[in-house]
Amino acid sequence: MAQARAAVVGVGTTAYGRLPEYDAYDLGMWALTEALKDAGLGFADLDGIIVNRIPDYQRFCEIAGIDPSFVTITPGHGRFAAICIEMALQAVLSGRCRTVALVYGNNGRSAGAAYGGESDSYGSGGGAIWWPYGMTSPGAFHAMMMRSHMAQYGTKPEHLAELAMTFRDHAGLNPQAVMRKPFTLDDYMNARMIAEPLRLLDYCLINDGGVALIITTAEHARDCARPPVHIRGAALQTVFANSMFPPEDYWHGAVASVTGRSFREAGLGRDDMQALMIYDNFTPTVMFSLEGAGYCGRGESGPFVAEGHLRLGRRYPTNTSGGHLSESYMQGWALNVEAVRQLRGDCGDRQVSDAANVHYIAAAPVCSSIVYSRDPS
Amino acid sequence: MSQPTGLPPKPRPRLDGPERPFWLGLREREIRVQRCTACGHRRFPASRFCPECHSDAFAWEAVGATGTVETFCVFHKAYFPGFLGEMPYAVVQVRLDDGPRFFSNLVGTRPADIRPGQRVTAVFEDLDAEATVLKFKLIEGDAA
Ligand SMILES: [Zn+2]
Repeated sequence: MAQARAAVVGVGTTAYGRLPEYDAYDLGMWALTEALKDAGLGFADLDGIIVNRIPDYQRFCEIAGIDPSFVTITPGHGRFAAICIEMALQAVLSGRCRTVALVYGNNGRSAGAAYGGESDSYGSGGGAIWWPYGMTSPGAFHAMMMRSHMAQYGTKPEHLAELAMTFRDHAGLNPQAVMRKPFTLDDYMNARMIAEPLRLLDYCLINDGGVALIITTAEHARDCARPPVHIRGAALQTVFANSMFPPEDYWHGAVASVTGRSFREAGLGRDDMQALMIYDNFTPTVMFSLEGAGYCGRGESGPFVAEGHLRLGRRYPTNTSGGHLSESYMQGWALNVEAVRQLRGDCGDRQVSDAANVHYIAAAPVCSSIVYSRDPS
Repeated sequence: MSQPTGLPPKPRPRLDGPERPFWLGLREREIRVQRCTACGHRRFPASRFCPECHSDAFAWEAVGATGTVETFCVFHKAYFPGFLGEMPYAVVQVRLDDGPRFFSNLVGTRPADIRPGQRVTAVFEDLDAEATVLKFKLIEGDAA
C-alpha cells in the first residue's frame, strides 16, 4: 500500500509486574478501556474483537458488555501478536469490519506460568517425547540455536551481554518497565546459567499485564482523538516443516521474506527506519532477526550489536521500552504499542528524535514484519 | 540405570503411543523409524501421513546407528527433579547419517567436551524391564 489504508488509533497498557488481584480478563479490560479512551471511542464503536491469551472470548465480551459482529480468540503464543494484527488489517481493509480491538491479557506471573518441565507445550505439538533425556523449554531450544551460531560464526556471550544491557538501559528511561536497574558485563557473565550458553539475563520476564490496540481504516482514523499511526506494510511467513528441531538458517529466510514483502508494500526500506522493535523472548532471537532483516550481514549480529547500534541515540534504537527482557514479557504486544508511542512522540526520556518509521520484527515458527509510519505515504 | 535413592524418577517414555515400534526396537538394539513406502522419506516422531508426499503407507524400519552432533545445550536448571543428581547435564541434537534427528544425551562425555560436528554412535540404555532409551557416545578417534 503506497498510501496507508489502515491505522492504529488507540493503544492501552496496564501496569506490568505482579498483579495478583487481577486475572487475565481484568487485565484485558483495563488495557482495552485505556485504548478506547486513547482513541476517543467507546465500547459500542467496536465491531470486531480479537482476544489473545485471555481464556474465553465469550466471557470477555460479556464482561465488556459488547456484541461485536466479528470475534475470534488466538493461542497465547508471542508469534500471534502479528497474526492478530494481520487479521485486523484484513477485516478493516476488506470492509467487513470498521473498528477492531485487539486485546491481550496475561496473568502468567501470578498464575505461575512455566515454560519448561511437565507443563512445557512449546514447539511442534509439545516435546514430551524428549523429556526422558531432559530436553524441555523454549529457552533450551534457543540455547541450541545460539550454540550453533557461536560455533558457525564466533558469536560470543559478550555480544549477548551488550544486547541485554542495551535493553536494560532503555528500560531505565521507561517508568513502566519492571526491571530498570542497569547491570554490567560482569553482572551478566556472573548471572545464573539456565540453558547454557544462555544465562538468566538472556531470558524475558514473565509478568502480569495487559495490552490493547484499536485498528481502523485510514478514513475513519481521521475522526479519532489522537493522530493515527499508519500500518504501511505487514507480512507473515510460517516455518513449520521440520520445526521439531531448530531451523538451520536461524529463521533468516523467513525474516528476509517478511521484511522484503512488508517493505515493498510500504514503499520503504531499512534506511527509512528510525527505530526497531524486535521480539526478544531470548537474546538470540534479536540476533537472528537483525541478520534476517538485513540490518547486518548473516552471522555478523554479534559484532554489530557490540558496536552499540541498537542504543538510543545511535542508528537503530531497538526495544526502546526495554522489550521483553527488561520492560515485561507481553509477547510482542507491548513492542507494537511502543512503536506507536514512538511515532506519536509520547516516549518522554526515551523518545527517538524525529521518528517517522518503526519496524517490528519477530523471528519464530511464524515470522512477522510490520512497518509503522507517522505519515500515510 | 536406576536413579540415586531419594530422587524422583525421570520422565519415562510413553511406550504405548504412536512411537511404540520405536521403543520396542530399542529393546532389540535397533533404531526403527517410519519409512514412507511411497517416497522413501524417513520420519520421527511418528505421523500417519508422510509430510513429503502425504501417503499413509509406511513401515517401521531400522536405520544406521551413527550420526553427528549438530548442536547441544547444557541444563543448569532442573526442570525435571529426576535430573537433580546429574546437574548440569547436556542435551545433544544428533542427526543420524540416515536422516532422522533426535534430542538425546551423550554417555561418557562431560558437557565441557561436547562440540558440534562430533561423530557419535547409538547407545541403548535400559531404564527397567520395559523401557529403553536411545543415547549416544563419541566414536573413538573420530574427534571433530
Ligand atoms: Zn512420502
